[in-house]
Amino acid sequence: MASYPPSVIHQAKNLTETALAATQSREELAHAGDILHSSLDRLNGPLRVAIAGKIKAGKSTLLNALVGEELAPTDAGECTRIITWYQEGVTYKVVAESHGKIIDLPFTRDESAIEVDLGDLVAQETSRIIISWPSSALHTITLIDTPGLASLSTDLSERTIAFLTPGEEQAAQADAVLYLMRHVHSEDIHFLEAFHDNAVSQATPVNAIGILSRADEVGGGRLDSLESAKKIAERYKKDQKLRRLCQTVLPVAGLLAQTGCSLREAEFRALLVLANAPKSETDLLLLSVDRFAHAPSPVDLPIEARRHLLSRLGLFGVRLSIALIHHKIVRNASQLSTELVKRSGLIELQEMLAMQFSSRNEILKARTALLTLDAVIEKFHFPNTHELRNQLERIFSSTHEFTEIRLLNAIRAGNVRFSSEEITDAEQLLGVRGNNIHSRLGLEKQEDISIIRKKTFDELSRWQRRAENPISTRETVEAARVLIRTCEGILVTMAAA
Amino acid sequence: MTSTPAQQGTTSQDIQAHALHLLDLTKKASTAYNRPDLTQRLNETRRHVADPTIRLMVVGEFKKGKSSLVNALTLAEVCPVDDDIATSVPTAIRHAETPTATVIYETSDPEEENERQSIPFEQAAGFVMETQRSAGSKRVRLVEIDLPSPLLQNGLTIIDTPGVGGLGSPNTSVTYGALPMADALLFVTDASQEFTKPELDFLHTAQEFCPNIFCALTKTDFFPEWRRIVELDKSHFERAELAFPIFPVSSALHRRAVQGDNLDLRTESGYPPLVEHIKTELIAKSQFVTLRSVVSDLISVTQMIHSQFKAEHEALADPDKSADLLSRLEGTKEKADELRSRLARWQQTLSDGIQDLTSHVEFDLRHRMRNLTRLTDDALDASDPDEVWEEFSAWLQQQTANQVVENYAQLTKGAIELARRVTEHFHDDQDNITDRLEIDAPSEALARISLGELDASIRKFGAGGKVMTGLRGSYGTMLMFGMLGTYVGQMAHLAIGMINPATVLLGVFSGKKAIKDEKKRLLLQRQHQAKTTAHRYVDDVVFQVSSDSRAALRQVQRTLRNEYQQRADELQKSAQEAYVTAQNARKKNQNECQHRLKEVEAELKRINTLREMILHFAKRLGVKGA
Repeated sequence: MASYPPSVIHQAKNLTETALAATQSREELAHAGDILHSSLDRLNGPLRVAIAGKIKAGKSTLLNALVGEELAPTDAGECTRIITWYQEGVTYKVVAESHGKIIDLPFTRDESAIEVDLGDLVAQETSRIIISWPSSALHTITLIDTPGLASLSTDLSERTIAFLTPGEEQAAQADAVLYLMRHVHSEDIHFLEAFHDNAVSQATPVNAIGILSRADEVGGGRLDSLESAKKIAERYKKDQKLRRLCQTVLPVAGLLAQTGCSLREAEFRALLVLANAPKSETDLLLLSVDRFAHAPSPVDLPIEARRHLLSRLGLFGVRLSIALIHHKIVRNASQLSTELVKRSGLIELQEMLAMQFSSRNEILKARTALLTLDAVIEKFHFPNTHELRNQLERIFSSTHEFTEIRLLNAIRAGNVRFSSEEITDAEQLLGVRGNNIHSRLGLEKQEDISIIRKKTFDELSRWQRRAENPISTRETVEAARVLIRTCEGILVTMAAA
Repeated sequence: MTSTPAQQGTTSQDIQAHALHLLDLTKKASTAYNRPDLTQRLNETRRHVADPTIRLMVVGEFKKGKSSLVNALTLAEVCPVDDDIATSVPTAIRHAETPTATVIYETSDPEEENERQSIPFEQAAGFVMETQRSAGSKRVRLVEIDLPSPLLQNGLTIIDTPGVGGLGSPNTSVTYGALPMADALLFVTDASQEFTKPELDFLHTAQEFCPNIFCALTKTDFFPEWRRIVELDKSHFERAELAFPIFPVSSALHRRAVQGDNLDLRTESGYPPLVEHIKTELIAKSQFVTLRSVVSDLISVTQMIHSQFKAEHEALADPDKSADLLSRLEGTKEKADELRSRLARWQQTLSDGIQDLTSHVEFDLRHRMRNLTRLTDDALDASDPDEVWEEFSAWLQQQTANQVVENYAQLTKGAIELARRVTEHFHDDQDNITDRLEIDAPSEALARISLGELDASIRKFGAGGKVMTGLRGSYGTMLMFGMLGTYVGQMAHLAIGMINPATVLLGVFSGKKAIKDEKKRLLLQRQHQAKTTAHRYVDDVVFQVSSDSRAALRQVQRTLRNEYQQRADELQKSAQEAYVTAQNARKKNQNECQHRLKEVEAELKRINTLREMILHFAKRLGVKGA
């Protein structure tokens, strides 16, 4: 099914380039030029996804799983102290931004995470670290790892909060946030609320996806932990409070995903030894992490190898892998890899990201760019101000997608008196759960055209009735009209296809 | 202090029996020697010894393994455990021969007794998870479970609580509110991450309410870095200047150990040191405090009886000196009278202290609420109440609850401190009297509880203990495990300001400004209404809490006064008796004197024997100064 034509982003790019051209060789417009330049970079660049959450929620592990490589350090204490960007690069490079200056940083990477040498730099003085890495996963997404919230050094928490919820003047730096929670804590709600409230007053609404992280730990090591995690995520998804704050909640076992993506042959062989050993012996080893890592055992596997497995998979991962091999569900390393990644929930997350943001991405980015341009024209004196302004107005008023975004903002700010059911349906129709037609209508991908058309007509009538209802306030009527227009758009697109 | 039989806990049963035996003997003496006032005191003491209750509260954040831990300690799978939500209602577990369960319901009326309902034992877990509801769906405040459990045999009650912080879990102030009930706190955290700020904040505040705190770090079977987490946690404690011991445990391993009767696994589970700590630091220490209090009571009772006979002996043995003796005893009587009078130093300390404390607590409350109101006004001025009312009222309730809890902490601290000062002054004055009654020196050290150890005793026994019980009673409804529903009242619903249709028409003619103005006016009106409602709520809370505070402090005053009045009366009676017997001795002739002297000597011997037994027991307990 066709999605909305992304020509708006071309328009935004063209207009920004026009304005940028006007700043060349004009002293007084140099600063404007800088702003427009980074705006263009952002327009041309990939989606920016920030990963936030309380300390030890599993942010860095998830980041590694999304990239498919172990890059971010993940040890047991508090590691990420500086906001770190991971973007695609031609070569391997690490720089730090401090007091507006860019500084090259030396780094090493042995078997696992990148180790950056900060040298004389102090965490408080460094606004961010940028790691450029050649990786296909980073082609469509730039990932931003943030210091944990509610950490014992409040300084770190504050930095993350400031990054994700900047003041009213600035656009948020991230397009989307993956908010990791091990179980939903009242602190999480507070953060999400603050984030949501700030986002509403923002130029660009930033989307949040809730992640029930470290899903493998939910059952304390029982083999059905991941099923349990799914149920819990379902419950969170339906919770009234959370629904307002994040689009959906997904369970993810980051460690399984991270290791699944990078499983080595030697590791599989070690697991094979364990799976083939007598159950009575392996049972004793699997009782606790201490036993697995330290206890002597007749099983023919060196303690070093056991410890390595534990650090790569966790106790649950080891138990699961052994069970999978034992029951002949997997027979080699590559099958185990696939199975681990599948069960980890990573694939659902990747699909969600693609669906949620990548297509909607275009519109969001275009909007940010145009709003930035608007602010710049307002502030600085361009020679062709009138022309730029006219173009801007035209794009804004003719692009229905922007109207949709404005309506979404108005709904989130509580300006539209819809019932909570109406709000859910309206948001869905406006593309919050996916930009394409079937997502907007809440239908499965394979649905028949006739079903889709019928659903569209139903929605159309429904919102028409709402618009015509005498007790509807003016805002409600306007809102209903936008939704009607959306339905009409869908019908037109289907007819054209 | 070296390990005494009391601390080993193994012979605690017979120590208790020994104590009861001595109590009964002394009671016989006080009855025989016509001192019903002393007999009454001994009866009260006996109640404490025979039926001790030690409350251990298990507290922690959501999903940290509290219920599994409680199950492991009690060796019974009573508390429901689940991956998602489990414990929603607090559960108190005690020892009993046959298993029974009782549900206690909330009551909206603070004066009313809570309804209790026996339920079949198997249904208990359902009530705890709130999956089971009785007819009428009343809110459950507490589930009491009695079952056979070795650790709980010495009067230990373990209270499992719902986790704080999770979605849908009760707010922290409810848990804080229940802390004064506890004799000790077992704080549960797990090995998945180091302490978070909310956890440390909680421990800081909890310390005010409950000085005996220790920690369990759970799930060591599952998290490979658990040792590192323990180290990190210890250094967090050091930095925060908290000194609570941390016990790493694994409930899963413990369960396996019990199932397979495997001692190695049991050691690996980490539970033995925790259980040991509970037995020695908690149970044994508590018993020790109880018993020492008993000993001190016994000593003072026997002292007073002794003093009577000593005086009589002196009068009989040395009739020439009788005039001197009488005048001395007269002086003692006067001192005893002074101690009883309103002008006694301890009385002054008490009445001045209560006044000061009352005004301090009231001022503290008003001050807190004034700050809160200011915050409230600022928040409402910056928003449209219509949009935020739900969140705002939830926030206001939470904040109010927090402030009330902290105010209550002030009151409790102040009351304990006051009890301490009054005790000190009473003892100082009392010394004058006991000196004059020429009571032997060594027992003085026992009679006077050393001030350094006063807190534990005060909290549990004598004046302080009664103060605490009284405080718990008067704040019972509000701060026990229920929600602070009694204070919520009805938050008035604000009228939604609809735009006046007339203004819309007006707007069409006179431009949009009129609508804008109308909107602004309505917004201001809403904000004003909201602020008024909020103020009214806070005022209601202040009113209710103040009156509760005053009632509580009156109770404190009454308790302390009665306690020390009683003791002063005892002393006075002793002085009186001594005087009377000395007087009577004068009237006797030579023969009668000799006869009586023999009798008195016999009595003195009996009393001394009793005293020896008591001192010997005290030595056995390892009490200083014995």
